[in-house]
Parts: sequence; structure tokens; C-alpha cells
Amino acid sequence: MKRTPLEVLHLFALAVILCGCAGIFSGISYFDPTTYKNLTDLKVEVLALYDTFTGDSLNTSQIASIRLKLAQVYEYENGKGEKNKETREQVKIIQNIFNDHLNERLSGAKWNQPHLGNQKQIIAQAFDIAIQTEMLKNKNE
Amino acid sequence: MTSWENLLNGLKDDLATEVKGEITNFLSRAKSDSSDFIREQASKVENYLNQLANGEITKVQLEGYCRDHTRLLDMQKLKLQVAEKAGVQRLIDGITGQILDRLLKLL
Repeated sequence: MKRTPLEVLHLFALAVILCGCAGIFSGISYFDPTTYKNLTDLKVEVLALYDTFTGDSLNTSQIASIRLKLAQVYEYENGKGEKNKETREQVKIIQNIFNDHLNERLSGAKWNQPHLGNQKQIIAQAFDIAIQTEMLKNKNE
Repeated sequence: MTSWENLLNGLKDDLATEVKGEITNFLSRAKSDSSDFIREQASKVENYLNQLANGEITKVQLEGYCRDHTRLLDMQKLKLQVAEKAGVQRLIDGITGQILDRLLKLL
């Protein structure tokens, strides 16, 4: 069906308005497989580290390695800008929880089994929420 | 009766009765909440209280768990914001794409 120039102009104007709306919408970052992998890998490493907290000695190199990885993940998320602020904030919260748990172990006695179970449950849930959040994002297709 | 209720019942004190009432009300409301997340947190808090009553964890550790659960709640709020934004993004992308497709066909 042949459109009149006026109809084409209307459609063009509508397209411009919609593109403008899309631009104004602050938006959100797309699903990032690197973020997903970083979080799932780190979750397993942190849980393995927590298992060592029931013993007398602490593996300082393992602790340093995980602290570094958490800092790297935060910088990666921060680098994506404002569209990624939710995930950036979530990673910051994970860092805070981890640091509190770690400082408690560094300054106190070794963990007993109930405390280990509770701490693992908390940090695992923190990672799970961040992972689920990433999976909610749209794929950039 | 759970361990933490037994512990508070053992304290013959008005404050203990009041605290028990507040905790019971809070847990009862949270456990019947429509959100799976809130129900799950309530069940964990009750478990912590039982562990405290049984001497398995300390008061300081319980305070740490409560602080962490507040943080988890903040994370959950951020997750819900992302779900909402992703929905809006899908809507805008879908409508814009359709209009542009039709426009391109006409030109």
C-alpha cells in the first residue's frame, strides 16, 4: 500500500520521539557473561576459603588472592558506568560482607560448625542475588 | 515451643515478655509475607535465635547476621530495580524496533 508523504512524515516523527524516549530512559546495562562468570567463580572460591576458617591456621595467600579478585570484579563493574550502578552496588555490598566476615575471623577464634554454616549461607546468598540480577538483564542481540 | 521461646520464658521479667511478644509478632508477620525472600529471611532469623538459645552462637555473631541480612535486603531491592528497568528497556526496544522497521519499508 502506497503511503502519502504526510503519513511517512508522521511515522518518521514518531520514530524520532521514540528514539528520544529511549535516549532519555537512563537505561540499564545488558547481560554480561563475564560478570556472570566472575561472580559464579568467586562464589565457589569464597565458600572454599570459609571452610578453612574452622581450622587454627589461616591461608593468607588464599585470602589475599580473593581480596584482589573481589577488588578486580568491583573495578570491572564500576567501569561500565551509571547504567550498571545496581550491580556495582551489589558487588560493593558483597565486598563489605566478606571483609566483615574476614576481619571477625582474623581477630577472633576459629569458627564452629553452626557459625560456619550461617556465614556460608549469608555470603552464598549475596552472590546468588547478584548472579540472579545479572540474569534478569536483557541480552544485547 | 522453640528453644528461643523457652529461653525467654525462663526469664521472669516484664522486658523478656515484651521482647518475646515483639519477636513472635515480627516472625509471624514475616513468615506469612507474600515474598519468598522475606519468608526465607524470617526462617533464618528464627534459626539464629534457636542457635543463640542453645549456646551454639554468640550474641555478637547474631548481631553480625542481622547486619548482613539488612545488606541482603538492600541487594534484593537493587535486583527488583533491575527487573523493572529491564522490562522498560524491552518495551522501548520493541516499540522503537517495530516503528523503525515499518518506516524503513515505506522509504
